[in-house]
Amino acid sequence: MDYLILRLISSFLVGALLSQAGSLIQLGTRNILASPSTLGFDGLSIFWLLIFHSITLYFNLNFSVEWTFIFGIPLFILLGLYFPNLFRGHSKFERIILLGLTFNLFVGAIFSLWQFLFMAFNLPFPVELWFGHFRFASQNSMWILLGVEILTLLGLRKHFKALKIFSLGPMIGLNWGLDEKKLFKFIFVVVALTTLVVINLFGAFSFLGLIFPILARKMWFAKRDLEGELYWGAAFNGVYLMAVDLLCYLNPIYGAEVPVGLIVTGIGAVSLIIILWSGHKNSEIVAKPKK
Amino acid sequence: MDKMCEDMKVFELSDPLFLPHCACELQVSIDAGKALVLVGENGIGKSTLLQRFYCEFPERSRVVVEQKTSEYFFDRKLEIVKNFFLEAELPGFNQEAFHALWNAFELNHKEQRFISHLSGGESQALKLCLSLCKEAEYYFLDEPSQYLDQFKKRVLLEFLNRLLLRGKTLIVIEHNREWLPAGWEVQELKIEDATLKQGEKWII
Repeated sequence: MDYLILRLISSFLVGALLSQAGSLIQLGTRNILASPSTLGFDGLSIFWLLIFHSITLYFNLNFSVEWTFIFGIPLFILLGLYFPNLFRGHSKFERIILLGLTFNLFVGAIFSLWQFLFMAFNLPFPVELWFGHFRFASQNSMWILLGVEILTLLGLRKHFKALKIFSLGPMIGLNWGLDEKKLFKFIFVVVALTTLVVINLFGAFSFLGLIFPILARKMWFAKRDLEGELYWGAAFNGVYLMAVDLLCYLNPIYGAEVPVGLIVTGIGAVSLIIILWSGHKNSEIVAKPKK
Repeated sequence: MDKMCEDMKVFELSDPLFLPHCACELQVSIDAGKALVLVGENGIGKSTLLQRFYCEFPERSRVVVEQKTSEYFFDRKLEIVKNFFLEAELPGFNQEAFHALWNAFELNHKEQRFISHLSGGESQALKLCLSLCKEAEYYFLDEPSQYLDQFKKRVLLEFLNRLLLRGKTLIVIEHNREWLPAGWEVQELKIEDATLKQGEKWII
């Protein structure tokens, strides 16, 4: 398949997956500040990649990036299943966000230290994963992305009614037999796997999972309710990321391509500042799921 | 905690850890097919008590209307909410009751409005409509008439009376005693010697 087509499909799927993951996590926590980045999933995925890369290098094994994802699947499914427990008890949502952001900083520090050591010992280091890009898009990575997207769509189809009831508030869920624990497991497993696949194959697109759902809610298809946000919004955001990546591809600066992750991380960070500064009504709710 | 009879459920509560601010010595009986109103001062633990009661009943057999307003994260038009309820095939959904409440609360005139644009009374009416349209045996209502205007209060009362006629059981917390109809049983709750106890019980 032509490289550019592979690359465009990959960027579209990454945009759609991050949009859906962001929407799900914001719905699950009822907070627009929630995203794979702010809750520390990005940091965990990078941490896993560093560990895996170091182990394979130490034992002189030759695994491609796809294997990093495949070996990480059971770990991240467990993470997704355990994560809802953090919301039980008296853990305030603000505290969880601070923990997530601090963890990202911690991973950033480890990343720099690792990079320094690898350079000192003249070893290859995956330096490009810090800002995501699609330069190494391949058929394998595209099929993996497609597989995750199909699984996400199947899961959404199965849990759609539950998601709608949940979105009407905790009391409606209490009356209409909503199994919140099951729904939370689905949401966080999707978020964990999406973050794992995106970061392992293409690097970090920080805050994209935060701004994409907000962007989807501002568009005309928001009138279609959750369908609008989770399907139309995801497609729109996929096209958006694809367009930004195409611009990066077509306009290299002095022969070097600007990573699309660098641009969207900048936009995302500024958006987070604006949301926090303006004090959005849904950015301060403490998430308290019903038992 | 309790012993079950066929027509009556008796709750005996003496759990010292039940309420954080006081001990508890209660024996409250709930008669099937009747309405029991719990009254008492603010903050003595009525809502916590109601929560304790409804947890004893299986989810399918109960409807709960809590005092706090629902957290609607996704803002949408009432029309979308209505269509979802009509099409979702929810277990126990009573379409007739839904239409009756929706129209009686005049939500049919506001279907193009967004949830976030509803007033406190309209939000309460929506919350009641989306909950009471479920067919159940026991209805636990925490201050259901709050924020409602006189007309909507009357609508709610008529609906609750129809439920009673159909043999349903109502457990209601209410401060607005003028609103309560004749025939409903009232159980007063009070704190004495740092202990939550039942006070007088009477029929209106």
